[in-house]
Amino acid sequence: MNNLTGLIEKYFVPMAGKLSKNKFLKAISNGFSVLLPITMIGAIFTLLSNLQIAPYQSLVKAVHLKEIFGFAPKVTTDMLAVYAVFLIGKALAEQYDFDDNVSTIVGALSLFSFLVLIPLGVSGKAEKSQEIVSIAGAMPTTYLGAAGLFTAMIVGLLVPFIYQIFIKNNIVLKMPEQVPPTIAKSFSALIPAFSIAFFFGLIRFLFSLTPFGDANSFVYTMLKAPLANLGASPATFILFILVCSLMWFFGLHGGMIVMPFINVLYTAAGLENLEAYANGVAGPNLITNASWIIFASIGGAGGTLGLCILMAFIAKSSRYKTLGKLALPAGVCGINEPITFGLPMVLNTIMVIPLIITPIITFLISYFMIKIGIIPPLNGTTIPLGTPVVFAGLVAGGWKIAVLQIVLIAIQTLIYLPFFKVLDKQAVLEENLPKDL
Amino acid sequence: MIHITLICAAGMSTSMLTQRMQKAAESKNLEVEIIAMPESKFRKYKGETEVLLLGPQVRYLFEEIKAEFQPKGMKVAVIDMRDYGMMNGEKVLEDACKLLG
Repeated sequence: MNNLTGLIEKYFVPMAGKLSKNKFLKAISNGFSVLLPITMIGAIFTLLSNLQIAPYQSLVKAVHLKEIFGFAPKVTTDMLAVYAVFLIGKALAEQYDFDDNVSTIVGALSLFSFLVLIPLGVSGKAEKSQEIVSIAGAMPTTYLGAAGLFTAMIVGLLVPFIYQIFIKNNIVLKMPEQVPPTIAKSFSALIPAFSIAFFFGLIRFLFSLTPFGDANSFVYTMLKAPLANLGASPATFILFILVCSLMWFFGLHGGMIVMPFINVLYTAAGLENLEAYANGVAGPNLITNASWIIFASIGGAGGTLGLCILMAFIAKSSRYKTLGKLALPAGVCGINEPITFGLPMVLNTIMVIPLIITPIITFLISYFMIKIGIIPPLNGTTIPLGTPVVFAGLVAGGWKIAVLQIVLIAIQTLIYLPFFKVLDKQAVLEENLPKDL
Repeated sequence: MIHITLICAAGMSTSMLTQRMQKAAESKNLEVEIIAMPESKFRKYKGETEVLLLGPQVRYLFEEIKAEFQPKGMKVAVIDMRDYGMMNGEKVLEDACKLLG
């Protein structure tokens, strides 16, 4: 075992380190985490406006709260790509260790480049005459939300990357030494900024010559659609769970490494469900970004809330009983480091089996329950890390999801039971050994 | 006054440990300030730190962080897995103080 541990520490740990240090993945991760207040405003206001309780609905309509709640999602959920491109651009600039104000400039340049790619002009039916009218100066919102999120991520990574090439090679406007450094700095951004502006203007023009018409339509057809299909497959999600659990088995933060990929693949799916929910229809996606916290990792990676309950209530050894009482409250909020390192789950050859199969089983159960229609799809609310279980389910999809979470915890308990009994028995034997031996 | 900073992925589980370390410090009448934060925030953190402790789940960052912050006079270490799991604030605090010699 020591040999194995040595090998892991030598090869696996640095590999995980490399992956987690990847600037692009970090930028996606950090960008999305700063985005949280905006996504939460969209989600919570959608819930407040659409909560299907008759007296509540007549109340919010009577006092005009419905209009207030109902509008926010149109400029948050439906325009998330706009916020995302700025924040991802800024986050990657920070990864390149630019100054705060330079990072903000790069974020703004990313937003600019994203907007350049959106073609102007909207046409639709006039309300009264039912005539088709076109407004040349209007900007369509089609690609500002979920549909444009991939373009936003690409642009948000590309702009800082290009900017950084200029800085690295020192292709910046040089001011005479008499110019104060602060002023020189803001001028030094001009060459990369104009180059980026021209580059994206050129891309816009080139796409207008293709049958796609604009960059977003191209990205949507070539990338978003295939990736959405990939993400919609339960096998993909299970692969992420598997990787995450294996990382934790080696004592590494699996979630931190898997999360950027989950964000890339499933954020758009969540937004689509939220848009559908706001329109009063069921969401089109069976798996969203919240599926991770709601179904797979209840109690933390490995789905260990059931195990916490076992330890706190049926453990015979004082060691596991103490740990259970310590771990249960944190587990309710999805934090399980006490178990991972205290039990420990790390390199525990008995516990590796439930560690891997529990989250996969609970995820698959939820997937099929949604598929056959017993449980509604998640409404697309992003659930922040640390949200207590059951309450999280209530917010993410209503009481049925909350009840399902309770059932899934019971299932976790059953899966962990035989494995835990083996450990507990060993611990009792150890505790009863005469102390002075 | 000793300043101890704990870092992990989201700064959540480390914040559980800081509470326990703080309690241990109070009972020993030690003057320490212990805070927890996500690894990504620490680089921009301007406050004082004498001892920088990493949660074992982000130990793959150890070499990089040590190379960056040790020259600045900080003692950098990874928290023992078992102590971390059992949230043994007293032991972690003791180890941290030992680092300072």
